[in-house]
Order: sequence, then structure tokens, then C-alpha cells
Amino acid sequence: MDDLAVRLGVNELIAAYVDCIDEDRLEEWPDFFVEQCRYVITSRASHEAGLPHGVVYAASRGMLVDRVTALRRANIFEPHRYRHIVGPIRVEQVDATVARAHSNFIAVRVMHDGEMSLFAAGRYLDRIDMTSNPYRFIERLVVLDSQKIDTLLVIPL
Amino acid sequence: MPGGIHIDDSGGNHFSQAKLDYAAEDADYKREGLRSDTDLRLEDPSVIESVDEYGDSVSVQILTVFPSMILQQIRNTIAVRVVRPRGIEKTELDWIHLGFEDDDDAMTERRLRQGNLVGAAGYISMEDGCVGGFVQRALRFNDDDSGVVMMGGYDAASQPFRSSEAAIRGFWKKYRALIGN
Repeated sequence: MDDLAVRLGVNELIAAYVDCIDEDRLEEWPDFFVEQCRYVITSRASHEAGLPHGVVYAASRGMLVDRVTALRRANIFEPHRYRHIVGPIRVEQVDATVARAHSNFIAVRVMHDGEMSLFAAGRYLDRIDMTSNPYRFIERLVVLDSQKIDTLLVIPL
Repeated sequence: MPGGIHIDDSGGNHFSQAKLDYAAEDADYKREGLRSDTDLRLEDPSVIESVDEYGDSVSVQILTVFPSMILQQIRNTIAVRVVRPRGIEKTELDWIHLGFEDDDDAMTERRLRQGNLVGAAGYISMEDGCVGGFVQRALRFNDDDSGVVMMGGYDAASQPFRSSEAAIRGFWKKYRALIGN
């Protein structure tokens, strides 16, 4: 597969993903993943120690749908939004159908009163299915640089 | 759901406990699924699939040792929690999630999926991160930064139900004894 086409496809997937979250179109968030997907938010300390725990641990698209339902219908929290900035994306093609990518990100949290804070910084470690158009995530690991999460984490990163 | 709070004489140590029959819960959930009058259902219920690990039907036990250690069992999630004040305006809650060497793969996976219930993104725990701040902000508008902690009664005694601030009153009872008030 053409290297440039893979890079463009991966870039578009990751850009569309953060747009979906930041623009509050969370109902579309599970569509970025294959059915038998994994989405785990963990910390660098856990990840480097080879520990499997995640602050969010989703092992199916259904679990992603449930995350959105819960935040829209059940959880109670002060309204806020994120603004993600994703750095340059490093892509490796693993085989004809799967690409691996990683990128750095930060997420600013903007509260309903305008108060901003640097909420999260870390890396995205991705395995991407190239058999669909657009590409979709098979696995997205969100590895946070800090183990400290301010107040709560309810909107996915 | 049977349960209660058990508080020691000093007030500073307690455990809150509830029992649940997981098989009955599962049957109830499936029965609800046959009716269409509720649209709030889990797409993937494996997040709460649980087994009676210790054979005592205890589904929740939160045990607190004064001043700042908690031992948690919520279904099959076992964790040690440490409350770490960082000043008047800030406190950290450290969650140490445990798995065991003799867990089989199914139990490990169960603990990891149920982990979605607890922690900073926990379905049942995430609001715990907000509520301390809400209470603190509200207290500032009261006389002498004081608040009323009267849910469930006035004292710090054990009770056969869990909707109570008895353990909070217990904390302050122990605290006052220690500072000689």
C-alpha cells in the first residue's frame, strides 16, 4: 500500500477523532472504532510497568456507546469542553491491513465559566484498521504522562 | 439490599457493606430487557458481570482506617485508596487497584472491566471527585465556615442502612478527641 496514502488516511482518522470530541459530537465517537476494539486510558507509570489497568477500559464498541450514554444521561458534573492539540503523527505500516501510529497530545479543559486548565498530556498509541474507508481504530491506548486527574474524567480523550 | 455501616467506638474507623445476589440481579436485568419502557440499558453489560468471590454475597465493602486509608471491595474490584490532603483547598485520592497472581484470565478481565465503575472516570465514583469541592464551596457562604452533617441522625453509631453521614460524624469525633477539643 502506498505510504503516502496510509499517512493521509491515518492523519484524517486522528484529526476527525479529536474534532468529534472537541465539537461535542460524542455520539459519533464509537464509530471511529471497529466492533471488537480496545480503548484504554492509562498512565505512563502503569504502561511502562506492563500493568493492564485503565482508568477507562473499553473492550468493545458497546462499552464506548455506554460511556456516551452515561455522560449524556446519568453522570453529574460541571459542564466543560476539551480542546485537543495533537502533534505530528508517526506512522509505521504493520502489514497490508493494519497500521501502527503514535502521536503526542495535550487536552485543555474549558469550564462553563471560561476557566481553562491543562487537563491532560500524553501519547496516543494506535493500531488502525486500513480495510475500511475511512480507517478505524482497532486499539487506541491513551497513555497519560501524569497519574493525577483533576476532579473527574468524563469526556473521552 | 441488606447492608449497613459499622463504626468503632472512636468513630474514626468504619466499614460500609452491602450484600447482593448477582444471579438474581442478572435475572432482573434480563427481565427488564423484555419490557420496552426503559431506554437506559447497557450495550455491553460485561462491565458489571460479577462473581461472589469470597462466598459471602458481599458486593460492596468500603473499610476506612483513620485518617486516610480505605480498603475497597466493589464487586470484584479490590483497591487500596489513600486520601492525601495537599492543603486546605486540595486533596488527592490515590487508587491502587489490585489483581492477584492466582486470578485466572477471566477474573483478571472481570477486574479490569469492572474498573470502569471506580476511579477518576468511574461510573459510580467520578462524582466523588466533584462533591468535596461542591461542599467546600458551599460552606464558605455559611456562618463561621460551618456545615450541618445530620443525614441519618446525630451520632456516630453503627446503623443497618448506608444512607447516612454517621461515618463523617465519626471522623470528626475522632479528630476532636485527638486535638483535645
